[in-house]
Amino acid sequence: MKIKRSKKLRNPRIHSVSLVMVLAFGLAMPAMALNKIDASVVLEKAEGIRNPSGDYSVDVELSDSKSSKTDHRIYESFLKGRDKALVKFVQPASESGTRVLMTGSDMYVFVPTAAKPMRISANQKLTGNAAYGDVARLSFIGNYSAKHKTVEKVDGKDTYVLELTSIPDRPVTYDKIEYWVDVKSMRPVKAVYMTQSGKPIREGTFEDFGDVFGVQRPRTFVLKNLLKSDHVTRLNFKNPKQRSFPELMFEKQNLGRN
Amino acid sequence: MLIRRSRVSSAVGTLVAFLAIACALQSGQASAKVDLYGRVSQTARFFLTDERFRHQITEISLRQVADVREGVTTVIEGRFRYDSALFPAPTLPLRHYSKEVRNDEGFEADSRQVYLDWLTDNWAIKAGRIQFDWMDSLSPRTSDAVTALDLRFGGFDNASQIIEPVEALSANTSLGFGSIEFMVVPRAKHHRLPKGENGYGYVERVNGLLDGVGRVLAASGVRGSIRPALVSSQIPVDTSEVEFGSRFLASAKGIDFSAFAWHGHQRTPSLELTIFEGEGSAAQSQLWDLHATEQYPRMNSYGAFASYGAEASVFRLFSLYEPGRAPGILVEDELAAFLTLGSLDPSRLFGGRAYRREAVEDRLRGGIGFDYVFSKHLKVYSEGYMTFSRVTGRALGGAGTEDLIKEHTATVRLSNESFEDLFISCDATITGPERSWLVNPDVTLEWRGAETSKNTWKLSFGGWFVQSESDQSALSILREARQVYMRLAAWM
Repeated sequence: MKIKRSKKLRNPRIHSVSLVMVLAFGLAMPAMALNKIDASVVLEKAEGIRNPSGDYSVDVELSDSKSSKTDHRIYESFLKGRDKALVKFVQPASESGTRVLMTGSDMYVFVPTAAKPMRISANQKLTGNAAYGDVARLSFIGNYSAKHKTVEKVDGKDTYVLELTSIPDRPVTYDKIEYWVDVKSMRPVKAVYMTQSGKPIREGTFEDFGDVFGVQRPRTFVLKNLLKSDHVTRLNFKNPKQRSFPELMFEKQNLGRN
Repeated sequence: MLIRRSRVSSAVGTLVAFLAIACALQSGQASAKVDLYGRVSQTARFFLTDERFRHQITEISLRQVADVREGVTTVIEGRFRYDSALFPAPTLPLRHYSKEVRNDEGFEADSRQVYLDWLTDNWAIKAGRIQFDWMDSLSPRTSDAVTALDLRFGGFDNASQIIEPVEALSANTSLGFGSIEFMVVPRAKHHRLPKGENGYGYVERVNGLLDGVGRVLAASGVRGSIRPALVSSQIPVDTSEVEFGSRFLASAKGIDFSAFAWHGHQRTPSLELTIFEGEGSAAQSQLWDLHATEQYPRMNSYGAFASYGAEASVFRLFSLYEPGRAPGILVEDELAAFLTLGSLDPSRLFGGRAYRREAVEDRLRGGIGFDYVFSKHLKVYSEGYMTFSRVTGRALGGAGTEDLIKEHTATVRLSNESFEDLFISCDATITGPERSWLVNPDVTLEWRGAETSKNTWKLSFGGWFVQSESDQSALSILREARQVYMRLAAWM
C-alpha cells in the first residue's frame, strides 16, 4: 500500500513536474519561434505592405514643422518595381520642374535652371527630416540586409525588431535602421534611423492604415528628429494609381522631360 | 536681311509648334491636366569698374505644362524682358548705349521652349523648340560644343537663361544594355553675341583689334582712310546646314557612361579679316574697307563622359574632341601682305594667334570632376580640365606652322545651407596659363507667401568679378568686369 501510496504520491509529483515543464515549454515555444524567425521573410512581408509591388504613382504632401513654423511641399512619385523611382516637385512654384531619379545605385537630379541632369550622391537630403528615398517610398529590400534582433511589445502588440544594415553602393540615406514589424499582421510599425556608429537620429512611424490596391497599407509616415525634438516631418501619400510606366521614363536623359 | 529672315522663320517655327500643341490638346481627353507657373523678377546690376548701372531688368516668364493624355505632354514657355537701364533716365547714372545695343537688348519677347513630349513603351520623342545640353559638366560655359549660348552679357547667368533654344526633333530608344538618342536640328544656331559695344567685351575687343590693324596698315604705307567694320553673319537656313547627332547612354555597376557624335557648326565665331577698296574711292582720297567677318564653319564634335556616385561623393570624367575647327582669327592673304610690310609687329595685336585662311585647329579637352557633400554646412562641387589645341596652317608671316596651345581651367562651387531659407554659394573659375579668374558669390533668401501657398519669393545679392591678366586673345568674350547685383523674384 505504501508502495502504491507512494507510487500514487509519486505520480502526482511527476505529473505536476511534467505539467510545469509542458506549460513552460508551451509558453517558451512561441517566443523561441519568434526568435528564430527569418528576418528576410519578415522584411519582405512588411515591405510588401508598406510598398505596393508593380508600377504606381502617388501624390506626396510633405509638411515639415520646426519651432512652430511649418513648411508645406507637394511631390509626385512614380515607382517602377523596387529600385526605380522618379520624384517630381510640384510645390512650391520655385521648385516646380525639379526632378529626382533613383535607379539602382544611381541618383540624379534635374533642376530647370541647370537645364540638364546631374548625378548626386546618395546622402543628398530633400527637405527637413525627409530624404528622397522617403518621398519615393523606396523599398528597404535590396538596399539593406536584415537581421532579426528581438521581439518587443509596442502599444501592447508583439513586434519583430529587425536590424537593417545598408548594402554597399546602394543609394541609401541611412547606414543602419531598426525596423519594428507587427508579429500578427506583418504591418510595419516604426523605424529608427541610425548613423554608422549606431546613434539614433530619426524615428519614423507608419500611420493611417487604409485600403490601397486592396491591402491595408500606411498612408502617412511621420519622421521625428531625435536630436531636435520639435522637428517633425509628416508625409501623406495620396491618390495612389496603378499605372504602367515605360523603362525610358526612368532613364537619365529623359529626366528633364515633363 | 539675314537677321530679319531668321526672325520670320523662328516665328513660323514657333507658330507651327503652337498649332501642333493646340491640335494635340483638342484631340486629348477632357481631363487633361494643365499647370501654369509664372516668375516675375527685377534685377539691378551695377558695375563697380565705372560706377554705372548697366542693367535694370524686368523679366516675366510663363510656363504651361499640359498632360494631354497618358504619355503625351506639351510645354509652352515664354520670356519677356525689358532693360530700362539702356534708355536715358535723368535720375540714375547710366551709360550711354548705341541704337544697336538698345534694339538688341532693350526689349525682347521670345518662346524659350515650345514642344510636344511623347513617351511610348519603346520611344521617347520630343519635337519643337527645346533647350538641350549634352555636355556632362559643371559649368554651362563648357557646353559650347553642341549647345549655342547667349553670351551677350558674358554668360553671367544660369544655364536655362543662357542656353539658346533650337527647333529640334529628338528620339530616344532602348538599345542593348543602354539607350540611344538621335537629334536633328534643321535651323542651326551659333552663340548669340552683342550687336554693339555693351560693356561685356566682345565688340569692344574686335573694334580695338580693327583700330590696331588700321594703325599697322598706316605704318606699312597704305595710303588713304580705312573704314573698319564688324560684319555679323548667320548660319544659313539650308538643308546642307542641318545639324544632327546621336548619343549612347548606359549604366552598369554604379558607373554611368555616355558618348556622343555631333555634326554641327562652330559656335564661337572665327573672324576673317579682309581689306578691299571701298566704294566711293577717289584718286585723291582712297578709301579702304577693313572687315572682320564672323564665320561659323561646319565641324564635328565627339564627347565621352562617365560618372560614379558613392554615399557622399560623385566622380566624373569627360572628354571632348573637336577636329577641324577654324582658328580664332584668319587673315586674308592680301591683308597679311600689307600687315607684314611695315615696321610695327602685328603679332602683338593678335597675341600670336592669327593664321592665314585654310588653317585648321584640332581641339581636345579632357577633364575630371569631384563633388563631396560634407553636410548641409558644406557641399563642394569641382571640375578641372585641360584643353589642347593644335593649329596647322600658315602663320600671319606666311611660314608654315604647327602650334600646340595648352590651357587649363579649374572650377569650384561651394554651397552652404546651414541657415533655414538662406542659401549661400560661391563659384570660382581660374584659367591658365594666361591667368584669368572669375568669382560669383551669391546669397539668396527665400520665403513663402503663406505656409501652404505655392508662391515663393527670393531675394538675391551677389556679384560677378572677372579679372583677366592677359589681353592676348582678341576674341575673348569676357573682359574685366566687376559687377554686383540684386534680384527680387516671385514664383507663382
